[in-house]
Amino acid sequence: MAITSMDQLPAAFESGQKKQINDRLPTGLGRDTRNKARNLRKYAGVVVVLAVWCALSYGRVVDATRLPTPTALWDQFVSLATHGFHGVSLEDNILVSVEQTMLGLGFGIVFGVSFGLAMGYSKVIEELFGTLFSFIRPIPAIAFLPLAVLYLGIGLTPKVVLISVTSFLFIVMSTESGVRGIQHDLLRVAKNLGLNRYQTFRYIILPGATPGIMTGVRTGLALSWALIVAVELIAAQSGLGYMIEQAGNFFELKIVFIGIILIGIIGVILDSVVVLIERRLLHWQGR
Amino acid sequence: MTVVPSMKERELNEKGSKGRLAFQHVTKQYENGFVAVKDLSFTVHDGEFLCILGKSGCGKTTCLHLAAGFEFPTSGAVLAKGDPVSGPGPDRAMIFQSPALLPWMSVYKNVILGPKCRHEPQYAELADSLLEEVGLSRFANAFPYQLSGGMRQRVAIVRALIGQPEVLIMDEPFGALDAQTRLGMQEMLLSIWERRKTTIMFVTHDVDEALFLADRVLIMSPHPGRVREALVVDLPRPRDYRLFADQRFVNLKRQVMEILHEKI
Repeated sequence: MAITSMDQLPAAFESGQKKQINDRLPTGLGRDTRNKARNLRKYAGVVVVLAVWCALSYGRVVDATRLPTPTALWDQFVSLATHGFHGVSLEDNILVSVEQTMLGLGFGIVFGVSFGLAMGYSKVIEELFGTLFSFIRPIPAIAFLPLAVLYLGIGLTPKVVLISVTSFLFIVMSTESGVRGIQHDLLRVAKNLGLNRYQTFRYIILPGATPGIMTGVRTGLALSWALIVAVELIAAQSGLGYMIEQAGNFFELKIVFIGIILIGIIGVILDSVVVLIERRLLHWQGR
Repeated sequence: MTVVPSMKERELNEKGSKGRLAFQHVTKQYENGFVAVKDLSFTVHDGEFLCILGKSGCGKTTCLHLAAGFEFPTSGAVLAKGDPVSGPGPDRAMIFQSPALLPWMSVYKNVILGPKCRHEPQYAELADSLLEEVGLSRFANAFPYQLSGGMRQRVAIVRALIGQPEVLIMDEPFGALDAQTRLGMQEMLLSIWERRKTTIMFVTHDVDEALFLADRVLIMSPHPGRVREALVVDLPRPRDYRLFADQRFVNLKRQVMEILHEKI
């Protein structure tokens, strides 16, 4: 029959694999070599910074009280990890920061996604809240900190509230644009197939908005993580930001450096977790 | 091979010929004042393959949206089996220019979405046999991004057919495909239609496509959209690629081209 002859089977699919753009690149180099080259490029920046650090510190270009050597920093890290700092263990400081970020982000996701979906779905809701949110969004959350402390005291509540609000505002925006980005024909298909409102939401709106939601979650996480540390610098009794602040007051420069590096590393780890979830959820994009 | 003037076509409707789908003096004016179609009357008969031919902006797509129930006429009536169209429904299945598959669902899930949501029984076997019919059995678990353009459009056709519609409404469904794939799809559509005799309302701007597929071609003219000519295509069936070189086909095509050319 004519039908089978016109099958243009994508070769990659036949062999049960996803398309690998790599395989199609016309280049004389093998794939391994190219991956190696790419990994080298990826870490080139980090390597350069480390090299400069080593040169400056081991070479005594900068005084050890201003820039500790990597070995000294490592020793300090080991002692910090075993003995803690000012009576608080390192794990506790890390956990406090991560937990509060997650808690705030959790609220931000729940409310941000709900509001974003509603705003994408209904022009009226968008008109009611859109201007307000656009007004608050560009204000750095840290500017609200004095108010938050005044109204909510110091402790868990003001931090979680600030993080929730910050991540909420960005998740709302990208969820809404996710809904608006859904191909119009898909909604016509839903009507044509006789889907009810719930089914349209469940099978079309929600999955269609997921790319937008995930972009928002990723941005929200990055902002929240940066914010928690900033808030802890000012109003907290534990957490990585608090540790850095205290270490700075006592001229414990090595601990400040360790704090900074840990914040960076944990930020990267948290982001990779979101990216992993994103890939799982959005496998159908075929990337 | 006869040209039926549009006046005669209109009289036919007024005599009350029912048909699967009937447009009666349909005018559609949009909120911005644009009149997409004006005083449009025609009937799609039971089991007929009707093509609507015209260049872009002549109200072809508006016709389909009216028939599908996505839009409603400003005046006049669109009737499905004698009753006014009150909204979209699976009895009038629509196939769009883009396959409009849900990219987050496998081929199989895309196909069964309608009957599953409408809580119809026994869609699984029907899905299997329809996928088999269009040569996509092996791709039931594939995702749309893994398919070629033609394969995606075949999934869209299966998704429409599984609801066992009385009318298939097709909006330039093969317009985005390359010429060879398009021919394959056209032949496939004809064989599907010949087996079922589902009424088809098919919009295209491609003269060859219209003449190859249709029992009857309505030629529309723009500003405002109206039926310019109704042309009966009495070429033999079953049709295949050889038809394109057939003298009768060529004559008919010349006739259509002359009509289209006059308007410019």
